[in-house]
Amino acid sequence: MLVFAGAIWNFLSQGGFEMIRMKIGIGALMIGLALSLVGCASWFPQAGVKQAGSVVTYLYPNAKEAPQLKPSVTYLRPPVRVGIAFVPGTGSRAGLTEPEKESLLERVKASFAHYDYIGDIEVIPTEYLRPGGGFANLEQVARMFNVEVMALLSYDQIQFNDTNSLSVLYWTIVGAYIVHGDQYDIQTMVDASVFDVRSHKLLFRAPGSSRIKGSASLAGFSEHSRAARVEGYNKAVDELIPRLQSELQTFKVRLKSDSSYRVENKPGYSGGGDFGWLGILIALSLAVVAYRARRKA
Amino acid sequence: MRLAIVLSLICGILACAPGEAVNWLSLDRHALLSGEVWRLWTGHLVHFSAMHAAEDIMLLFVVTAIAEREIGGWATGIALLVGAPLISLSLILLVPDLALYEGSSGLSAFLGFIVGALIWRRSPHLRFMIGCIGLVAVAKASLDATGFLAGFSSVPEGVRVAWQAHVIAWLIAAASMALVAQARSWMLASKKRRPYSIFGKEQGARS
Repeated sequence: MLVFAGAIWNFLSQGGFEMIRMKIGIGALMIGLALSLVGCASWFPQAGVKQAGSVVTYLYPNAKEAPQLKPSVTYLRPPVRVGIAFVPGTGSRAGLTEPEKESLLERVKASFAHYDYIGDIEVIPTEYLRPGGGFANLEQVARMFNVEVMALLSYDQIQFNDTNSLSVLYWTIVGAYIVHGDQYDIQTMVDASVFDVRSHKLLFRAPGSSRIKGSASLAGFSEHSRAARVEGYNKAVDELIPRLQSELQTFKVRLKSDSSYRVENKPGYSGGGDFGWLGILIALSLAVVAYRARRKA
Repeated sequence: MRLAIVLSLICGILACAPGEAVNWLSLDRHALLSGEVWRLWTGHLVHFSAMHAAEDIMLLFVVTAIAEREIGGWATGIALLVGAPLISLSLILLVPDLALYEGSSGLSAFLGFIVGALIWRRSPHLRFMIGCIGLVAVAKASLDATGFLAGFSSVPEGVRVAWQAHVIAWLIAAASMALVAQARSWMLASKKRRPYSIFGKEQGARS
């Protein structure tokens, strides 16, 4: 016991205290460095973001076989009342916010408002569509909003994130706020599928796509990429609208030859008093007759 | 000619008016039944499209100009003021499926029939020509009724040609002319009887 106490006294008297303090200091420094590195890593953007809402997943959630459509005649009664909605997204990252969706849908609505054979266009919030709700949910919503045809917008957006050579300057801390060392590449596809609610028939569809590339500093990357994602949707819808109008014209031509579609007037139809060019000829003939009658008199 | 110009101008201005104004003036069955009676007249002055308006305005201008020459501006104006609501009411009563009507061709048909009938009576040598014109007009209405001329109409898609308005206008014009003729014959008969019936003795004494 006396020997052990003597050894400890010897160790402390030869500078053992200083050694322990140094080792503790180095350990704390290492731990601090490691923690700060982990913190910085959490700043870095994720490898990519995917947002998707599929019309197939919404309408045929549990389909293991191809849907069987019975051969039937689809009746269209102009002016057709149309509902327009984004299909529900899957997962936690379901894409655009509701006001952003509404703004896009309003633009699509405005571009179709001048067609006489299209009646009211109702913008339907996505909350009314249940994920995987199928045609049963679609019919419920159509009844609720009193629409006969539904235009469902599905979307698929992928964001790829990469760093460029400038990102090496992030280690200067200031560089993380100034240098654009992060890049994004956002590819967006929006697809409008127009369904007759009663017959469940796909009338026509049209896609729109966009690609947006950009770069941002580490600190501003999240904000920049979010704005770019919204811009991606806007550009895709810009491309979608003329294509959808073109598809509508093609569908109108197809209606005349396709016997599975029939256009009928609604019980309360609109009537225009019209004699056409023949009426003007009749009136001019009457003017000639009146002139001759006056001359004779 | 003045009335023809004024009517054409009104229709032309309304053709350029915003959709809300046109909706407020068209012959809408439900709006009319809820008390918006001005639609009985104004429904004939608005049109579904620019093309529809252009054709109808040309037709109305020619027919109204002839009518003004034949029966005078005041008589044409009164005929239009009386004829327009009668055509509208008949359409509402006789065509229950018609929810909305726009177009001035009903008025043109109304005035055209009156002018044609007057010339028929005044100028027997032109009856063949008037008969031919009448037959073409009836054939046009029949083809519209069967839907054969659907592609040749100026009304936009989703809107049917309201041929009933033309037939009703002709019938109302015929009935109006018969009534006017009857009233004239009564007036003539009463004029002949007047010296003896009302002022018989005094007038007879003066003469």
